[in-house]
Formats: sequence, structure tokens, C-alpha cells
Amino acid sequence: MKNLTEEEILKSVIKGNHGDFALLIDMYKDRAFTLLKKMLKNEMDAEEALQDSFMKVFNSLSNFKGDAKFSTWFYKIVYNTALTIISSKKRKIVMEMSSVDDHFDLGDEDNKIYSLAENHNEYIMEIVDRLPVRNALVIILFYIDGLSLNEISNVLGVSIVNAKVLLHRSRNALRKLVLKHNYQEVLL
Amino acid sequence: MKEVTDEILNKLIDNELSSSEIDELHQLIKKDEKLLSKTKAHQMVDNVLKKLEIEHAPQNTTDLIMEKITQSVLEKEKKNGLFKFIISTFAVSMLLVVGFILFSKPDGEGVSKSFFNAAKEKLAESFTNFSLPISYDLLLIITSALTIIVLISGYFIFEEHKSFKQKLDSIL
Repeated sequence: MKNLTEEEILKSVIKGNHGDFALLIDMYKDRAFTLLKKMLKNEMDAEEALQDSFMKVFNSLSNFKGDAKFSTWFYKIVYNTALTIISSKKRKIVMEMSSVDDHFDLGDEDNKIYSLAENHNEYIMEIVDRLPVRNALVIILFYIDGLSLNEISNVLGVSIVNAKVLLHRSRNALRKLVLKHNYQEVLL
Repeated sequence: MKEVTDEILNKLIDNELSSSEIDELHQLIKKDEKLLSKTKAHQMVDNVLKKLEIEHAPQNTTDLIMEKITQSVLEKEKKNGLFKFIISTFAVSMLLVVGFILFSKPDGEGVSKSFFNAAKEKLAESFTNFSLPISYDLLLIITSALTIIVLISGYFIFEEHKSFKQKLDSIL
């Protein structure tokens, strides 16, 4: 297996060595899949979107000028592909794209999750899966992919302030649920 | 710091508070148990989120995508190839026709003019009528130049085909 940096792979693929695109897929497929699963809440849709995203990346790679980081450009494509799938499935996009405001309530589902969770880790992870798309997305991009708020704002097409608000509201919502179940007492 | 807001707790997590602000916050936490719980819960959320795990894409993902890419590259090249083939064939046949008319030997005297001789004269005539200050010799030069251009284009098409085959091999 070739040992190339991301930049070298990009140059090589643009030059015409299409086979090297496989290295880029291996580099990003898991992270993109995690993001898509959180957005689409369905493994099959996530797989389909993953393939579509990489095809789009391959076909438009020559348009990547390198002004921004490749990861930001890549996630933007992944995000837009997921949005297309959501709208093509005729889901209520307004509902899907809503975000946590000051009040986030799961109702009875929360009690169910709480009773099934073995510990606070499991509980919080389950709640993250149920967060509205944009909130879950910000959390994944920030915590798993290590994107800065500036990069996240580029991916989502919102201002940095809005990206920050989304992240803070997501944390606040999770904190309120942790407090509700007194999980914080676990911490010494 | 009069009141510890959500924003301050988020700043604490993101290391955006100054050391004096952190000290002030700790003083407030000591006096207020509710605030202590709130801060603990906030830190707990941050700690758990830092442990979020990447989910693995299905194993055959790379192969499936590369297969799709190969197909799309092939289709693209096929379309391009067909277009180039049509253009080249058209250009070559045009040149052949013009070349044949211009270079074919005239028949002997007494023999009636062949169709090609007639066409040749007509062609030369039309050039003199319409264009022009183009002499017969100049016409020959132009035709030769065109032939060379077509041959060079043919060479490039061949080279491109070779590089496409190499690209294909790199994918497969």
C-alpha cells in the first residue's frame, strides 16, 4: 500500500492516477459514514450517501482549489449529499433540520433510554443519536473530526456565531438531561 | 462575574476563560452546590463527547466506490472516443476526397474527361472564382499541411488512448 500524504494523493488523482483515489476513500470513509449515519439515522441510506459523496468528490476534484482544507470541502459535499437524500425521501425537512433551542425534550423516550442505559456514557451517546440533525452534526464535526468552529460554519453554510450557538445549545441540552438523572454525582 | 451563565460554562470547557475568571468561577462554585452540580454535568457531557467513537463503514465500501468510478471513467472515455473517432473519420475522408481529386492524373488526350477530372477543374475553378488569390501550388501546400495536421492529431489520439489504458490499469 502506498504511503502518501493527503496532498500527494490529491495531486496524484488530479494528475490522472485514479487508482490513488482508493487511498482517499480509506482515509475518510469511516468519518463520513459516522456523520451520515447521525444525519440520516439509517445505515442503508448512510451507505448510499457515502458512495454518492465519494463519486461527487471524484468528479469535482479538479474544482478543488485548495483555498480551504480538503476536509472542509469534503464534509460540505457529504453534508449536501445527505440533505439531498433527506429531501428525496420526502421527509419533513423542516423537522429534520430543526435544531435544539432553549428547550429540548424527548418526552417518554428519555425515560426509556435512561432505563436501558447501563451508565452515563451509554445514556449520553444514545441521546446524541436523537439530537436534531444539525446539533448532532456539529458535535460529530467538533469532537470526532476535530474541525474548528470556522470550518464547521463553512461546512454547514452558517456564520461562526451560529455554529458556536449550535454547539453550545447541544451541550446545554445534554447537560440538562444529565442533571435530570443526577448522573453528575458519579463524578468525584 | 455576577452570574455564571451557560456561555461561561461553555467557555470554561473550551479553555476560553482567563485564569482570573477561572479562580472567580471556583469561588462561586464553592458557595453554590447547584452551580457545582451544573458545572460537573457540563464537564461530564464534554468528557463523554470526547470519547465518541467513529463508526466503521462497511468493508467493501472502497471496492464498490472504485468500481463505480471505473465505470464512470469508462463511459466518459467511450463518449469522448466516439466523438473523436467521428471527427477524425470525417476529416480524413474529406482530405482523401480532396487529395484524390487534386492529385489524380488526367486521362490521355482524346479520352473523355472522367468525373474526377471534371471535379478537379471545378474545384480549382471555384477556388479561383471565390477566393481568391490562391494559386494551385498554394492549394497543394495547404492540403499537405492539413494532411500533416490530421496525422499529428491521429498520433495524439493514439497517445491519449495509451494513457487512458494506463489510467484504467491503475484503477483495476
